[in-house]
Amino acid sequence: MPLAIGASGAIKPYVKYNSKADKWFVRAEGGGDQEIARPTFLMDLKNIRTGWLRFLEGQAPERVIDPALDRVAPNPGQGFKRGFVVNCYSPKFFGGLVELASASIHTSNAVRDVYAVFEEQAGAVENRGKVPLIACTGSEPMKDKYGTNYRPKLELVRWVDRPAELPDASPVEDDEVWKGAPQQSQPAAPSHVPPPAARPAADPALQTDF
Amino acid sequence: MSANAFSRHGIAHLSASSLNLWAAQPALWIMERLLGRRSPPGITAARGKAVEAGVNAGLVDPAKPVEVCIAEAEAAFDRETALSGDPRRSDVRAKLAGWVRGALAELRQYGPPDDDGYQARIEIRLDDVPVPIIGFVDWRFSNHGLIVDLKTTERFPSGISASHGRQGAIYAAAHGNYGMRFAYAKPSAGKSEPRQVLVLEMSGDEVRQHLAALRVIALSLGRFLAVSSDPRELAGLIVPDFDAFWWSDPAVRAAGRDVFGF
Repeated sequence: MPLAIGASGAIKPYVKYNSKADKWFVRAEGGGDQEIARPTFLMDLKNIRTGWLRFLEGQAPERVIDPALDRVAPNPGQGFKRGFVVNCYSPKFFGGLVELASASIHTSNAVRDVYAVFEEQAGAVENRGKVPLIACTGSEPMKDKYGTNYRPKLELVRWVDRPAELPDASPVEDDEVWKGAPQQSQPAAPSHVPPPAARPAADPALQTDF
Repeated sequence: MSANAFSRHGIAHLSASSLNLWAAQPALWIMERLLGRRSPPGITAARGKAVEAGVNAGLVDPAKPVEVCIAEAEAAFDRETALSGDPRRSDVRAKLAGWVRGALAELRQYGPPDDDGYQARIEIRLDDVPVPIIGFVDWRFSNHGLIVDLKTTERFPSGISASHGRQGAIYAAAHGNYGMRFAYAKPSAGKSEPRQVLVLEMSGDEVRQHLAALRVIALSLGRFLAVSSDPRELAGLIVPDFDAFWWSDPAVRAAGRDVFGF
């Protein structure tokens, strides 16, 4: 059995969106970033994880992942920002399975919005066991005190069968998940889930195949 | 793990109840599942099945009067407990109406379940476990992407128990993105708690954690079964805890004495 110490030298393939430049990058074969076109890809939103991320120049990213989507880990310290980690898959744009992790407010907002659409559609019987195909169709300039940044426009195009290359698994390692004491001293009383509202008929536009 | 460990004992599949029993009372699991000394279902199980039958009648036919649904539950209970000598039988029967009425008031708000959604057989696989895990869902509401399992109870739980969670995780895993809910129904509302039904939904993380636990439990069972193909020899490796409520039925206790020798 190998010893789990030292550096493995392996870097997980990634995709990232530079919100200052409105550009997408993947890891180039020889290292460094390689720009790609606006991608269309499978995003494993079912297994997305949120947490605190810190990206410092010249250092490996640090992250403290929330124990659950509805349980936020405490802020680990200065420089950490709220973000997410999700596995994405596209042989064409990414060369296969990659990780998208970001603490950018604009990217996070875009992912939060497309996640809301995902949640709305995930329960439909025709989407059972499937993963959403997401297209980046453009970007929106966002002016703030740091100048102009861009928010990618992410659209849930349709649902497809989960490919074997995109396992139904967490994108983070167990040791990245915060395991401190619960913030409350007593467990919260279980809360009743009300009956679901009647569902509107499916929007035919969402069924468009492109 | 080789399938032989299970197949040599004639086990073609596992279930939540089997794995929960192995985790909680391995001696009882051996007695019931390996040696075939199963005791008849208790009054609590009969109550659950009967209430479920009555509620299902009212869900499938939303216009069916509640009193008719209650009568169906009572008939099912009578059939199920015809030979039961349990002294609680008449008390439980008297409460069936309350359970059915309360559960229907809550679950009719979901609309009718899928045509094939009642007691539909599901099957999943766990990594490295050579036999499938099967189950039967109470109701599937595809319009809402929900699986609902009804539990009759006298008091609300403080959360979804591990054994229920494992059961729900199997149902959820068999249904992709569906939400998994447990509806805990009491026979009547309490003085301080006006609600008669408490519905709790499992989170995705809970589903994952319980599936991981089920895998560990199933692997443990497989390793145990691999020790010997003789159930009697396996029974000799485990000591039962007769103080546990699982053994409180005199017939079960008597069978335990017979199998384990004390």
